[in-house]
Amino acid sequence: MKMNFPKQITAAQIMAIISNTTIGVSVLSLPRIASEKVNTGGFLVTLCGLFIAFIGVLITAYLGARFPNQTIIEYSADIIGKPLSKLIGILIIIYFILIVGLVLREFGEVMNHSLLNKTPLFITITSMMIVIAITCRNSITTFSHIQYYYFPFIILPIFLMILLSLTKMEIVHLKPFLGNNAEFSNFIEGTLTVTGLPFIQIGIFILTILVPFMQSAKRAVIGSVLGVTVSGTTILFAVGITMAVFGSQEIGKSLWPMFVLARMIQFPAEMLERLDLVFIIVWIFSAFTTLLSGYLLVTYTGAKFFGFDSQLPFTFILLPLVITVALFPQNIQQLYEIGEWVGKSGIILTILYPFLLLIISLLRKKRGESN
Amino acid sequence: MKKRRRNPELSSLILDKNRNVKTENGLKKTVGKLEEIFKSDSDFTVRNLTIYGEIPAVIIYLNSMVDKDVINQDIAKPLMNLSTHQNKSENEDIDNRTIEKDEESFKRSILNKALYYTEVEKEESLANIIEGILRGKTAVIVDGIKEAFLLETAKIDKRGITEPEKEQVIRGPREGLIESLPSNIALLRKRLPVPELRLQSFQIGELTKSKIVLSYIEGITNKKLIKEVERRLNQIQVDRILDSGYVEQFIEDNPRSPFPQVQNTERPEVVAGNLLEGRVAILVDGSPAALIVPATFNQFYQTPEDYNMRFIMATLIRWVRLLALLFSVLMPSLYVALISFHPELIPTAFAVAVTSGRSSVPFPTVVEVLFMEAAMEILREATIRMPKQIGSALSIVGVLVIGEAAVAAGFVSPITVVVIALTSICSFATPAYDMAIGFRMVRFPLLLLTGILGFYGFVLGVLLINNHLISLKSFGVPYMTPVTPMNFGELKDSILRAPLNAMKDRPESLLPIKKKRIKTKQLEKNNPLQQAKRKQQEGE
Repeated sequence: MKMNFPKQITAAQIMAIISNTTIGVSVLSLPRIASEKVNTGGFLVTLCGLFIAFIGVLITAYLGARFPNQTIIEYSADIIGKPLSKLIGILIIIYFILIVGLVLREFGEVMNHSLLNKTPLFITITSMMIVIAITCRNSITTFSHIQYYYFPFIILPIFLMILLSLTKMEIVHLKPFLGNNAEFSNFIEGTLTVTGLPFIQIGIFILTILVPFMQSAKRAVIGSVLGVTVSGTTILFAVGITMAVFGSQEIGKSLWPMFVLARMIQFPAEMLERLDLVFIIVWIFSAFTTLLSGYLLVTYTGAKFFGFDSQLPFTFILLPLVITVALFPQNIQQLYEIGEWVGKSGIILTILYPFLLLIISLLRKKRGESN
Repeated sequence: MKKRRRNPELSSLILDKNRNVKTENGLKKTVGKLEEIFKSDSDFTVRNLTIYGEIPAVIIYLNSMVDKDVINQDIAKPLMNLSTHQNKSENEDIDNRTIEKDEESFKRSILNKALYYTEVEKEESLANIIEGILRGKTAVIVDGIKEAFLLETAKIDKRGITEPEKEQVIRGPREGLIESLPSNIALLRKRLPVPELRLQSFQIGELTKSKIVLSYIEGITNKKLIKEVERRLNQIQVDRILDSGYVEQFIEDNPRSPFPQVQNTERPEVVAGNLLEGRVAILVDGSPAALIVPATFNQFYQTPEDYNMRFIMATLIRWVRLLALLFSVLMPSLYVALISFHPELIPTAFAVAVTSGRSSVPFPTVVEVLFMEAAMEILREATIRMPKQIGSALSIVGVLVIGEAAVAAGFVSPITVVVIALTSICSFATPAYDMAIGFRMVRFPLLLLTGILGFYGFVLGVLLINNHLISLKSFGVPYMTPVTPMNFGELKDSILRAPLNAMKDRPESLLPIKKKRIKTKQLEKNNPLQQAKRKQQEGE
């Protein structure tokens, strides 16, 4: 008897996975990235960026619902033919290896900045990656259980942080809403940068491997909509409050404005001298969940690409590759430049490509077997 | 009993050799063979007698395992009396030789007139006769009858029913399971007098031939679960099962995990309660601990008392236990992370106190804590096996050496002692011993990780432990069940202990056949004395 039913993931778990994945360490720098080009319009840019991400998630969810038993590698071959889908498949894998590496690097930088000032970056990154690779060896159902477990540990503290810093907020900092002398092209660029943020990309694409494990593929749509809504609200609130507390001028000065915000918070009863280290736990958790999703995406898609059934053969092989990518940027400045470029061009792969697949599958009336 | 595949490499050679040997008509041959097998074992007894005054017969038994009164009164006496009685009344029409010829009727007359014993088996296979004798049965072999009679005469001393020492309760029954399987079954039957209670027996252990009973309630427990337990039990091939702990290790899902995936209990009412929830219990002859599967993390911080208490108290006490469990793993590492990596987190006044306490300590905090933890473990291990008289002396030494002298000598800081003491107390607050020990062991790697990477290492370690717990399964049921995957119905009996009224369904993760278990509605309250008083007043 096998008591582990393969199709077990519920809509609530999808929600947890998507929101855990889209809330990553990069949220720390999001207020800066968003307000870089349009200053006070950062809030609106984030909103627009998240909206595009929302559409992206919807597309992958619908695509998944059409092919409930297959991953993107498999159904893309049905839709556009094997050679082309293989080519794009390779691109996707490479792209996500880059993305995971960049997220990992950013996480390492945050850790070295806040906790481990003297530890080499390599150690920080490798130890995290080993934990992720070990966890990645579990089944996809267990993966969703793990994600579900961490969901409250990530969402609740962030809301607590928002709540505790409400007193320091000044609405003036958010005005004008459309940004000071921001041009439309700046807006578009900012929006694309936000959508292209690596953790959002992983969040959009993780659905493509989860749908075959869902109780019913239709619930994938509900779960993903809920997930993006939850994480979108959280991110928006967090970005808004950070901007409202500091103002766009101040935000530009620090690498991780939200981190500074956490440092400012004081708990009513002074149990601990500083609270930012407590929030560090949250960021480690959220980085873990994001990276776990990303790494699972890479290994599982890779396994499917080479015709394996599970991600097990790839969990340790890809480890050095990801760490190498993470160590590639010379400094934080370069990291963010590369990240922006890779993320923006990745939108083609993660949103446009599934969109085209969906259109073609609708036109050619292709459908996966439903069970 | 199911026939198991025998494993010739592990099983008894003599029994295997005689598996196909049949008893023969001649009394002497069979007795000779048995004497050859038992050689001159001190308790092997052969008593010769004659039936009808002339037919030779023997009673064979191991005198260490049988009830001699029963043999004297109920076996030897009637057999011998048979001759006189028979001779007196029927000696005219029954010729001994005719009886000898008519084996069937002879057998019947012995069974019907002499051996008025309830548990009699007729056995032809020599191996089965030997096994019977070895289990305390008495073999009666009569010349002229091919089969031997095996009579249940075993009388093996067992201890009385006492309260289990490791699961004591303040409010609840004081009965505990003991080493004898029939007594345990009786304790269980007493609580579940329904025909649905199934007790399926197995024999595992090629040499110990331990009796194992798989018990469940038909119509509640999921059939696939029962099949799986059966399958796992049938796969065990070993020469011995000396305690239920052996069985546990053979059937658990992940033997390499530090956390137990099978619950064990010595309380019959816990077994009954779990059966009623749709779980399966495994009783092993010779072991007072019953195994319960599937077991999730949830079960290991609960006690039977939780259900006897009112729900608010039970819930609060559960929180205390959970807190203790968390503390027992996290405290030492958190202490190290805070003191040696992030002293800025602690309020300044306290930080000053800590540093002044540590001023004379020569080691880094990790080494100090590791050393003290190791000392604590040694002390605990030492006190468990000691006789009570020495135990108290040992604890005084422990208290003095570890508490006072070590601090006075500047070996450890007083706060470290406080942390270590709290940690050990917390680990004793966990009701399940095997869970507590699992967590105690896990705290050492966590401490090492924290020592190397500080707070970051601590969080990584916590992540690893969490992920491992979530990925564990017990008979296919995820270990962290009511929490992840979330299950609201079961959540009522995990971190909370909802009122009994509210827990209407059996745990859903066990997929029980019958789901409902409680139908009591909110009580309608009358006030009888008030009514009586009113009546009295009206009467006046």
